[in-house]
Amino acid sequence: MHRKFAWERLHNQKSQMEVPSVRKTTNGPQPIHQAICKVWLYSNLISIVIVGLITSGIEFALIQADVIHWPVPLVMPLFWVLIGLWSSMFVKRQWHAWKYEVTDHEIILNSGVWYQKQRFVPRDRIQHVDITSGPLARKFGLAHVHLYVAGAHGAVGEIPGLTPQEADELRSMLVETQAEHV
Amino acid sequence: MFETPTRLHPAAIVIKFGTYFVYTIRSLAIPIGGIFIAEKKTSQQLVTLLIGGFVALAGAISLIGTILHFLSTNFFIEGDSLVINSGFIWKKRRVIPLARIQNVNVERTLWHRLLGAAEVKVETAAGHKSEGELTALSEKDATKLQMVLLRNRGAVATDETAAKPALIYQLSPKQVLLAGALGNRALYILASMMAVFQFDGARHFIRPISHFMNQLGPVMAAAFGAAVFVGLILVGWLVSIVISATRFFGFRIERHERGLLLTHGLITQFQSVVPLGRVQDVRIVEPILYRWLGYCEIYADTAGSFDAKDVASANKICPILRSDETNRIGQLLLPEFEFERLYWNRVSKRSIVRQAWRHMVAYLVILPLPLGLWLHWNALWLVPGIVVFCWIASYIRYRVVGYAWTDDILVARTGLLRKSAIVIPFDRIQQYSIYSSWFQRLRGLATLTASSAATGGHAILIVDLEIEAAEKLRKTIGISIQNHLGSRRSGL
Repeated sequence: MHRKFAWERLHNQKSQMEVPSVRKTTNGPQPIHQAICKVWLYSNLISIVIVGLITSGIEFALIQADVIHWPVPLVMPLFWVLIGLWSSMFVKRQWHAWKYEVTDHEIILNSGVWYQKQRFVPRDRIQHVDITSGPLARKFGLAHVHLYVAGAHGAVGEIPGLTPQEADELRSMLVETQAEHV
Repeated sequence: MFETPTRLHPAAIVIKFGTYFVYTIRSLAIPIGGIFIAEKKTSQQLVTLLIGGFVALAGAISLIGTILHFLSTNFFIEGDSLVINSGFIWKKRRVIPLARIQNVNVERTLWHRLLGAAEVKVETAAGHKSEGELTALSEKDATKLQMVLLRNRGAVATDETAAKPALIYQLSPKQVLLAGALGNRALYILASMMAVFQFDGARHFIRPISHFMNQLGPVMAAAFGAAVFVGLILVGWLVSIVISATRFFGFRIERHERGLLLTHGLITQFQSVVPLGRVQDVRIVEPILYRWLGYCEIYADTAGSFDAKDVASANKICPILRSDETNRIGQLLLPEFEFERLYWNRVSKRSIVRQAWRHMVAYLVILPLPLGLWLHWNALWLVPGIVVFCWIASYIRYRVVGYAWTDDILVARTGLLRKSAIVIPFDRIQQYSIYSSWFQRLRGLATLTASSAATGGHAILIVDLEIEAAEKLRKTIGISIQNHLGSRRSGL
């Protein structure tokens, strides 16, 4: 029996009534869903907690072994708190920077705050399109679209923070124009 | 031809045995290492017995493994696909559509040649290794299979009569030796020799030499040390020439019905077909010594896998090529190739300042600790030298880096000592990007990249264009890709 992916279930719950019509292009650069900020924020926090726990464990062992003494063990937690605050401050700006646009011939992906990137993927070069949705993204009703071209080791472009129907619509839009080659 | 399951040549047992034996020994390395560590506490006899036992066990496991590999592996062509069955316990059936095959290499190591066999490696666009490896086939079968697999995609023809290959380019013995002499292996070999001395050589080689040097005066000791160093470099250089001579012996490029046929090798013979329809980009590399003598190296990347250790599938078209032949060979690889009549554009002059600062900061962050420990405050005398070096290097880089385009190709060049240029046809570009860091934006600069489907990771990278120039070039690439949509050749 075909096991439905969570994003598919989510999509079906939310949009059983409205089947998205396939558009050829987007009307100019499109923002991604703002809920992605929460996904990024929570995933930052989870990473920091995990790394913090590991470093705390190491520090505890070092204190027990009499290698380090107070207040040295406070340095690492403080460092991770600062990293957490720093990354959280940029989540909103990161979201602002993220834009995608589908034109007649290519997909344009804009991202980055400090390191700004503008990636152009010709539509007929797309080999396949994946839609993924992790637990956090699912919680906030989001899905990510990954674009693959030949020769690249992984996805050449990712559009995060779309609603499942937007992701589905985008995939249909891109797959429809897939080239006849390879 | 090959419609029924065909077994490997029995030579596969002998050839695969070596690989399996090394693999098994490696797996047993930890217990063997444990024996060496326990050597001092255990009797010598027991240690010898245990090591002997491990080697015999590894040999037995390897032999059984190779026989099972031989018995369980077969291949055949079914419809439009090559099917390879393998595995005794975990059975595996690999189906490679003929249309997806990028390249087929026939390789003959010394063992293959002694046993009258050849290895066939089939590459597709996926992964970093050959997707189909047939350890040993008879030489006749290997050539036939290569021909069948590389014939028109999807259409398996059984016609064995292939036109005799026409010679395009051949290296003279002098050029082969020159490629070895100019190759930069001498220092690697020297480093390897020093690493070997580290183990046991210190007692036998380095200590007697240093003892001898202590007896000499300071000037004589310095001269002796320099002579030893030069001598070692010379030995490394000669070894490099010998390696190159054996690898590229009899190097020739011939026209094959499906591309170019490269043949070379004295001990291990390589025969590699470069499928021209699959060439994604062409690279011209000019190390400084090559440049002075009017030579270069030429590479062609296809979407197939290129394992760095796998010489047969290496994308080096010619190890040493006269610079005036670049256009001729390049045009064989890509009909639209042009390298002589290009209008080169430079990157922004502001790049000199940015690159100089980048290098100064990098050197001044990395070097203070080692140099400070060694020279103390005297290390500060090096600062003006580093600053001057960074500025000069950045200026030379600015002069060297450039990009050009014609209606059909995009070209970029870079490199100070090792100049390299990459040519990608517009109809091979898979994606392109503009990047700019905060520091670049401060100076109004950006980086443009464009990549093809070549799996070697080589792409066009033009660093520090003015933002307007990057935008203009980006639009040119977009339009040119559109213009070439109808003219897509076979392949990716």
